[in-house]
Amino acid sequence: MLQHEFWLNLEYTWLAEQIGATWLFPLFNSLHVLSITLMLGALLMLDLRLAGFAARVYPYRTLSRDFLPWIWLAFLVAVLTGAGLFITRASAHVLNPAFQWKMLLMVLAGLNMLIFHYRHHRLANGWDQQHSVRWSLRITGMTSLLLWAGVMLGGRWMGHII
Amino acid sequence: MTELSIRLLSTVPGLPPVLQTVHLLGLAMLMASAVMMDLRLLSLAGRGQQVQEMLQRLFPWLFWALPIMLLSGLPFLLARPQRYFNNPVFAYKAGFLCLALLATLLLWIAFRRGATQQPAWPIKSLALVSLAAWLMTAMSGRWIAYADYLFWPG
Repeated sequence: MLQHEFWLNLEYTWLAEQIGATWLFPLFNSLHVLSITLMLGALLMLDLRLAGFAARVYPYRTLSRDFLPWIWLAFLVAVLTGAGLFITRASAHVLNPAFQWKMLLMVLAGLNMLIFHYRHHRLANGWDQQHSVRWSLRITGMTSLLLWAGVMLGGRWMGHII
Repeated sequence: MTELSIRLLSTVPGLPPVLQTVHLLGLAMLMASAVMMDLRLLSLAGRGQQVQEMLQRLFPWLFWALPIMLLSGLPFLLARPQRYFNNPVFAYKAGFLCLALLATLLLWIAFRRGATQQPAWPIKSLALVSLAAWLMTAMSGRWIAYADYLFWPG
């Protein structure tokens, strides 16, 4: 599946050729870096609150209302610019172990988010009013930070393998 | 120093990507703190949080990220100084960084004097300068590797 010519064909699409042959590539690359650092930094603030290490004067929900729209916006920019970079060398990237790790860790981060989502919806309103959140939720906060740091490492390592 | 940096970066397995990732994670600390407080001062983000409390909480993250950035970036600079000092994009990055640091320092002084409580237009314009300067610093950092797209076309 990873050897399939679909990946090679992606590289010959009009868009991939435009990006690869012009200053769009460095532009996308720098916007990718900008959006992932903003996303991860804002996620750090939110996850540290969830894990009970920072900003404990606010309920979790106050912070998530403030930060989540920015986190999702940054994530969207990162996905779009990342896809733009990916299609310029798709067939090499899918075989790159660093890229494969990066995707695996992102899937795990997504699952971790779903676990958090599912668990905190079952709790009564006001679960985040207490000074310390229950342990199972604190752990999802810490896991999220570890997984995303791994995603960064995988993404940076990709460029050293090709 | 140059020899030591070259030896470390070329002999320790995986050191370059690991150091670059530390640089990126430090950048995440720095950028999110700076951008969020600037957006807060401009009333564009974080309106559920009090300004003074938010600055109090985020300034340490911003300042602690600086030595992390320096330590994870310096080995690359020392290993190949001519790559950076002959690169016009690196000069832009240094310029934007100085501007960003200056604007941040001024904001910090204003914060210490309590002037950020009800941010008036001088504080807001300072926040705007800081926001733009930090974004340009991070952008130009990535463009160092692509200087030939801008300065030596063809």
